[in-house]
Amino acid sequence: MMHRRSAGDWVFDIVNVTLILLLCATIIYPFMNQITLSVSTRLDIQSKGLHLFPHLGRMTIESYQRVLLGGSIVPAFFWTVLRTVLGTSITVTVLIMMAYSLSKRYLPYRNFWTLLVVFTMFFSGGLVPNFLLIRSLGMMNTIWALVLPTVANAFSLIIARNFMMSVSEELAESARIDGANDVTILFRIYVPVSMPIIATLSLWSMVQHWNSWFDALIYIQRPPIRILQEILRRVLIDASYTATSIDEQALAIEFQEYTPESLRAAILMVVTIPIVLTYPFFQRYFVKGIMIGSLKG
Amino acid sequence: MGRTRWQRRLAELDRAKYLFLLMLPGLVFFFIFRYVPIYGVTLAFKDFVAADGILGSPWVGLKYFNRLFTYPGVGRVFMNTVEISLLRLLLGFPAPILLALMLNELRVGLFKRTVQTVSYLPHFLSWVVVAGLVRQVLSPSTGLLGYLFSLFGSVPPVLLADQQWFIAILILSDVWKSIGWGTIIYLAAIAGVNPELYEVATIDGASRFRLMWHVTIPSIAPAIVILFILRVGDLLEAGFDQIFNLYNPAVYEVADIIDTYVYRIGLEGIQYSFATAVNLAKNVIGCVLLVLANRVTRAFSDATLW
Repeated sequence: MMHRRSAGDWVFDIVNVTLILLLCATIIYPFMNQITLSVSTRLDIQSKGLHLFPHLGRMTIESYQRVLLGGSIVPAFFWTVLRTVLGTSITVTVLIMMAYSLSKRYLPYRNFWTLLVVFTMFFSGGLVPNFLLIRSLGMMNTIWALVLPTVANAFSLIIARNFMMSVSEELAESARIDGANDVTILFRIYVPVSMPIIATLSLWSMVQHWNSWFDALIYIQRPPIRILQEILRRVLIDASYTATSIDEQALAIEFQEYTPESLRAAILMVVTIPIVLTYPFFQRYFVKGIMIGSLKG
Repeated sequence: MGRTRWQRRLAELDRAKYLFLLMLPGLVFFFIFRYVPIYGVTLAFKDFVAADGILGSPWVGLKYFNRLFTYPGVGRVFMNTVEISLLRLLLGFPAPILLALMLNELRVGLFKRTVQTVSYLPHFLSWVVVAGLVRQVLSPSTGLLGYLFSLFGSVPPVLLADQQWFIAILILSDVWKSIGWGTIIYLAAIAGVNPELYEVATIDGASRFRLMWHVTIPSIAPAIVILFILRVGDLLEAGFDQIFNLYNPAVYEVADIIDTYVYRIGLEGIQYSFATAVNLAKNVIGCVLLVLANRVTRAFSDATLW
């Protein structure tokens, strides 16, 4: 349907596009700014300016060298990857198996089990009981404190269950007649057709693990385990923190002598770049998850 | 007769034995990491003795709940929580609706998709990272704020240490982080509108604003109602991650919320029972709010949570 644009239409479009571009600028600027700071010399950083683009003739990768050779960030990178991989694989495996069972009408007391899960979305124990639980399980300062508690994710489980309820029963029935049990049916028939939802849950879990820091703050109190976000938080944001333990002193000494802005920016880049580079490709799985989740289940 | 029923029951269980097997690991995880901490809430009514654990510690009744009303700090953190939450609701809730309507008016598909992708970015970042960005932009010496003030030859204030500005920064950075992602549901609802409605209205001579007002907005109203109920249920969630990463003692008076308070008195101050009592009060009020919000919206529209 074509119609001539009036003057009012033109004004509307111009104002609309300008406002939207302004919003995009507020999102892109801080990142350009951080990239610039991370490769700038001390002198350039201290002179007033937008710091939108690096000074081409005076770029330096000194901050990145210090960050990567400093002894904290590289191990933290590997610990963070480890928790992400472990956490995601355990979560997805456990939840897919449970979702399959909850999706079957012949599961006795199905509503009771579902309610048991849904209840945890509305009521939780809270900070102190969770902390005491991890402590009494002997999981303090272990990778399990970061990996296991996140497995029991009611929201992901319900979404996977809803997806599996929509899978046609026909294939499963013919396999059952051939003597297959539920375990075989799940892994041979349901898992292949559930790949979209498995991808969604995996990516959710990966982003969640990559970004979480609070569990590392309360459950990890001494080396060797270090988590990127937690180092970032201490060095960048908690600039005034007092060095109490030997570990923190080492951290403080490692980073104190350099141009703080440049170093902060370099660490922030190490933490953020994996996400920034990949999110345009995985965003559609997140969008799909939101759409499934917003339907009444 | 009883025997056949018993046999039928047994056959049902036998048929489902692999289902139970598949469900078992998940149930164990939910039991240990969700239900044991829910039992741990009884700590609010006990004096914690480390050697005896939560189970063996002695009951003290409402001792710690009475503190909720007698400790001077508690009322303040509840007020701060509600205040920050309401401001977020007031400004943060309409923001994605407005952006979705604006995006819907874009005519070039590629531009629209690019803008959407850019606007999703902050959603995927942790508050640790976003707080780092906020601090750098607001830095009086090397940040954007310092630069802008230097253009006028003046010295910028430290906004994060100013009580009023701090709240403004909380709200703005929250809108910045969530506005793009929040449009998804609204854009999907808009995409589902019957195009004939637009055609008929256009033939009748409706302007773009009238189309927006009479066709687009009514069609996304159910989504708005549902998301609003969810937000009201979260009224006591004022954003722990955000505030914890931005606040400082200079702004505790206005920025200390229930969750940050629970962290400080519970894990830093080791007042386990009192912290649990504060948390429990918050949790119960949150559940009540969700039920009430659902009741109220049911009275006004068809769209409800349950």
